[in-house]
Amino acid sequence: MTVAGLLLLGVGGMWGLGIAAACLLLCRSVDSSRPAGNDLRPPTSELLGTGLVLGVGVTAWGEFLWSWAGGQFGWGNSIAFAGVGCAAGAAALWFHRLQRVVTGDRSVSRLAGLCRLLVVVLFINLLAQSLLTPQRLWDERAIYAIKAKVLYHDRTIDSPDLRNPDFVQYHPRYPLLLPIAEQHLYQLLGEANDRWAKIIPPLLYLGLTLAFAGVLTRHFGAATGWVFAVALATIPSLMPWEYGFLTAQADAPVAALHGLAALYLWDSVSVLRSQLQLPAARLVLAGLFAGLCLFTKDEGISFALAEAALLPLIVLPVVCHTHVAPGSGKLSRGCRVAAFHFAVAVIAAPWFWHRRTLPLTTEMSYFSRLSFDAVLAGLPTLTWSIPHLCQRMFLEARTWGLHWWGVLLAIGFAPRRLLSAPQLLVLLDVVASVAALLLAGMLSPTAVEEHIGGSAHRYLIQITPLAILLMAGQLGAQPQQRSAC
Amino acid sequence: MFGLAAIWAVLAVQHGVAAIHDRARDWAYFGTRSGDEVLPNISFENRDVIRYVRESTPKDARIFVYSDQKLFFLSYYLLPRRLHHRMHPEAEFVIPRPGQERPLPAWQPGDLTPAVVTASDPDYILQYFEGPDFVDESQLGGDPQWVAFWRSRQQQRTLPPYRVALTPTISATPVTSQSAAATEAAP
Repeated sequence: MTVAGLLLLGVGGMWGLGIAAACLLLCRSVDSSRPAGNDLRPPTSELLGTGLVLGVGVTAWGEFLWSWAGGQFGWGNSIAFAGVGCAAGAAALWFHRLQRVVTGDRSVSRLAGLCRLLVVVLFINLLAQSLLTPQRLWDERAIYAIKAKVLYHDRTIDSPDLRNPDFVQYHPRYPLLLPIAEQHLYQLLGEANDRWAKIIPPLLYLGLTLAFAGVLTRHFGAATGWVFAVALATIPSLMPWEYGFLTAQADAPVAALHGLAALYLWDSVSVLRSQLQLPAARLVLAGLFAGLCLFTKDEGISFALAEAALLPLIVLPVVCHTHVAPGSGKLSRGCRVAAFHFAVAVIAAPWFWHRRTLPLTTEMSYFSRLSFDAVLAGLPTLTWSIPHLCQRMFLEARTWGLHWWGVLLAIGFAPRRLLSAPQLLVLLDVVASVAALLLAGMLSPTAVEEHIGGSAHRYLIQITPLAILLMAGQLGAQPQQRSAC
Repeated sequence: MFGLAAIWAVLAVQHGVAAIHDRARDWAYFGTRSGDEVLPNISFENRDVIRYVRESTPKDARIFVYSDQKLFFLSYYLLPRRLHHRMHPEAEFVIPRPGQERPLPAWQPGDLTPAVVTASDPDYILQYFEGPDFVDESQLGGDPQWVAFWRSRQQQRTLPPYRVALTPTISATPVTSQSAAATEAAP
């Protein structure tokens, strides 16, 4: 089979596996008796987008589990994953097609149609640009690509070299989602040509964009949903900046996974507010994305911790102050919050168990550095890092994008809406993420000007989708407003 | 808001055009060649050392390195050969700068106990130093094979300005340039 055919098979397998998993979680809560505007049924774009990001993550995590249990990576293993994925995806799409309610109204607004076309063009452009160069940046090779090649050659996560503190690699404890996804393609192709591994970030870009379009369409209608999806897809720091989705570094993949975790948390809390029910399946989906995020880069740990803490803080007061019929169980609905934590734990537990066996060379080990005294000693770094972050977010908007200005304008447009539970959740998620970076700067053994100065622009990529979500939540018209128009 | 959307669109187009221009420039350099062939975005010194070690060692070689360099790219492009290096604790969190602007502390032969080196079970010992603190003129010609390789690549008759020496340990089987080339070509 040609390289293109094998790549298509690999991508199809990952995508199919993700679509099947997404269909299982998104389509099972369909209630056809719901009035229009409150429909939980996922649009096809949501299923395809969520499935694509989930598929890349679940394939890598599945292969990790396979190796953790003693299995070997190889062509047979990768072809089996691809075959099962393709079959499962086809079955799920057939099921989704059967479930769709045909209303006879197939009209899509011209604006939404134009936006769809634009997203396709942007994706093809990104894919072509990405594949035009081999891997060439520092982190993508020193951290991820080295591990991917060692996994390809040694065919196991238990490689003695990856466990040797003297083996030359950067950040030996960094998570394995990207390296395993890369070696999955290498095994299929039969060679470790790092150019082909660069197909993965563009897939995540497409998935992120489609999922945003789908979920926002469910809440605000197709035109609004697709406009914000295009806004997300055209932020320069995500695309076409060469440290964004154009490279096989982990910052953009983390943006996709963190973005979708926040999107489904926002979606769940929005549904709770409007329909007085907390959709556990969507919380599981959010938890899976948060877990996969920490399986991609260590920043995901702080994101998952923040979301795990914020979710009950936001949800439980809403549940307690909502009038429900006796016997419908506030307690059980409150307990549904734990679905998120459970899903994060399912993904994270095996990874952390394996991670214990890996060396600590060149690891910053923030958690072991964390103490009251260390934080006090690091406080002066804030006088440099906070202005620096503000500069990156606002004054350098011409380089990185206008999204943070957009957030300020959107808050000014509807300030009271910011106090609603879903919006508050996203806002606090952003605040906690920025605080985590500042804290890292306080604890790092490297000078703050070098550490934060050299990484803040890449770190901000990881929370960029949340800016678009905040803007959409502030500016998007609710179903009742739309029907009144 | 419409103003923001308009500027947003202009910015996206501007960045898009600049990126396409950059890729056109990249294409002239990379073409369809793989990263292993081009060895992109690394120093000329790193490139020469990688090519020398590739030529002089079999693919499955295990190499223990004494160096004042961050060796991540050597490690990457020399795979499946395995590079081992005991990093100096004071170099662990130092970010290097081009042109030896920020020299890294490093261990030299004799600084480490034999147990540290033999723990990696190396087939070769590689010494690779660029910093002035580690480069003694008398050592520059220590590895005649390296000197010949460097001279043929640079088309010069002087000694290389940095110190490289590749020594097989007892367990290593010597590699001729013909057998190394054959190993590289093997699937």
